[in-house]
Amino acid sequence: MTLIDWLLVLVINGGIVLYGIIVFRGQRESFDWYLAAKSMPWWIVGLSAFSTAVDSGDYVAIVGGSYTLGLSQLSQWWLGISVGWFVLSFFAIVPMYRSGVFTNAEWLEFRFGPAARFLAVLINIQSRTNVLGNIFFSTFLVLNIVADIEQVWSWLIVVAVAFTAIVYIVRGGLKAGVVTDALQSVCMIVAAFVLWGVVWVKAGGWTGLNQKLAAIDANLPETLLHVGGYSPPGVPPLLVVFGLIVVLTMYVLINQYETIRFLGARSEWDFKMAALVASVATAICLWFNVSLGPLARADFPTLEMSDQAYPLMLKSYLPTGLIGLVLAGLVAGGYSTFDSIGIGISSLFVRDIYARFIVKNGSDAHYTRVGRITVPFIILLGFLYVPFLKGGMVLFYLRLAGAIQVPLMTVILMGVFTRVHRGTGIVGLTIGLVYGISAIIADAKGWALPVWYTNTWWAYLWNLILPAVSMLIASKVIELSRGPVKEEEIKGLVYSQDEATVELRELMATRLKVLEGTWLQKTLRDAPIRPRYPFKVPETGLRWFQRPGVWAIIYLAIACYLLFVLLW
Amino acid sequence: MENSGDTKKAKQFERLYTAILVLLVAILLLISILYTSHLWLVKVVIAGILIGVGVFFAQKYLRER
Repeated sequence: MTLIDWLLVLVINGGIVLYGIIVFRGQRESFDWYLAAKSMPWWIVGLSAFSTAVDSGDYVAIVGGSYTLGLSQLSQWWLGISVGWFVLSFFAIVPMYRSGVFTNAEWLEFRFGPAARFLAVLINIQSRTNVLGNIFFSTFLVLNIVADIEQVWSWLIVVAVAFTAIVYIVRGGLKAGVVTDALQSVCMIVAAFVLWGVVWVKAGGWTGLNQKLAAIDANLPETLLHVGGYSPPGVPPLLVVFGLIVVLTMYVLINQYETIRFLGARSEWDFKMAALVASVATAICLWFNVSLGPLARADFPTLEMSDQAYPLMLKSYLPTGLIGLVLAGLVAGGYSTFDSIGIGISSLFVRDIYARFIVKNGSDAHYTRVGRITVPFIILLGFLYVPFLKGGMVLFYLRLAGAIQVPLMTVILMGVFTRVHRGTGIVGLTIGLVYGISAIIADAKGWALPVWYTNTWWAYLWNLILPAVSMLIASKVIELSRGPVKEEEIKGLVYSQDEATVELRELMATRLKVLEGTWLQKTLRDAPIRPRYPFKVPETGLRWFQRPGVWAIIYLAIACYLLFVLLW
Repeated sequence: MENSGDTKKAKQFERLYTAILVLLVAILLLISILYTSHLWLVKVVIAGILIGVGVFFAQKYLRER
């Protein structure tokens, strides 16, 4: 890397960071700092959701992953994450947005009790600090391999990037994070396109790639260039694709740092359209990144560590200037996720642990201050994962996600879509976690258990079924003694067509006795009610192109055709 | 609540800031051609798009100043 490359990285990322620091400051009230005063338009929320979901870890780890798994990974990025965004924005977030909660864990307590809230916080912290570790490690790899920077200095630069992200998020809160995310998303897409375009042309396009892979191993084109091409022994390809779809649906549904930016939208229509923007941006960017894996395999077939593929391609194919541009996009991906995790987990810690169980009656400014102080500690936690990531970041993440995070998604979906009893949430979570953790231990220790019990991909299926079935059974058992769920117990907490009203806010504020007189109660009561649409709806109704549902169906139909027909 | 004067000033600043930042990146990309002419056309195309964006924001800034 030359001076001009470093200047590009510095000017692009420094420019965005400085913008975040200068423009967004003085967010003193918790509603402004945590939720951007629910003022953000659809396109900013959508681009931010995309750049939050895709980080520098994904650039390096996805290319490393598709080096082994091939195009099968497209299923999660074209379909899994979009299904997650659509389910979140059309259904799951609706009761959260209308009821005035700040976090998904907060909603979980109203729906399933304090234990579900507490476990959701722990699972979110585990999952996001794991991702932070991925970003730290991947940025380090790029600096170390592409720029030939010594290990110590590479790590110091990673720490500096984390620190500057902390500065603007601490000052500006969610709004600073979301707006800078939108700017960073442009850099990320450009970066993905530039590297892919150069490598694709040099490889001779699809035909050239097929020939190169076949020259290494006659089976490689079949494995790497088809969505249904990869499956380990004992696992049907369809189950792998199913697992990949569930992993990102789950990602969107359980993660507070995704939920919070949708909660910050100025209307319900805005967060639905945001899901579409996020899906399209992700589909474009991830086509470039996923298809780089097979391209890397064709050029470097014997890599010891698959995560080296991306940095090696960067170094081998791009000249001065373009290296800087692509690296700037990669670093921007890191920033956009650092800030999102910072604000997302901070909101969870403050509302769901600190204000709920530790200090209940502080001033509004106190809780905003604690939120700011929490951000650096959360980001530093990510470094604890680094020693475990040498075997491939994607595979490590997939293993933990199926076992630990999918049960939480199942519980959230059951809470939104069914009328199961309040006491069933902890049952579903416990059953899912016990199965998931036992499968990880059995796999790691090599216990003589069947592959359908221990394998990563099977865990995605069982952790949908086991918690859901156990919750239904538990609900039936509770019904025997207490009768069916009463309407007032779940009013405003399950998906419905009802409007947000002042009465609902009052019901939320008084629903839990334990919140009486606390800051949490005050914020639930005071949060302003936002409309369904940010514009006046004509008497004849919305026109087709104004309907988010129409766009969602078009997007899903195209994605399914490409995945299951054209590329299968 | 911000008053409309502050909002206008903030918008002006954002436009100027974006124009300068984007033009700076375009210039750096063009300078990089001096290091190596490899893939020079790609750099020129990207720089051209960035200059277009920069000029657009600069014009908006100047018109509303």
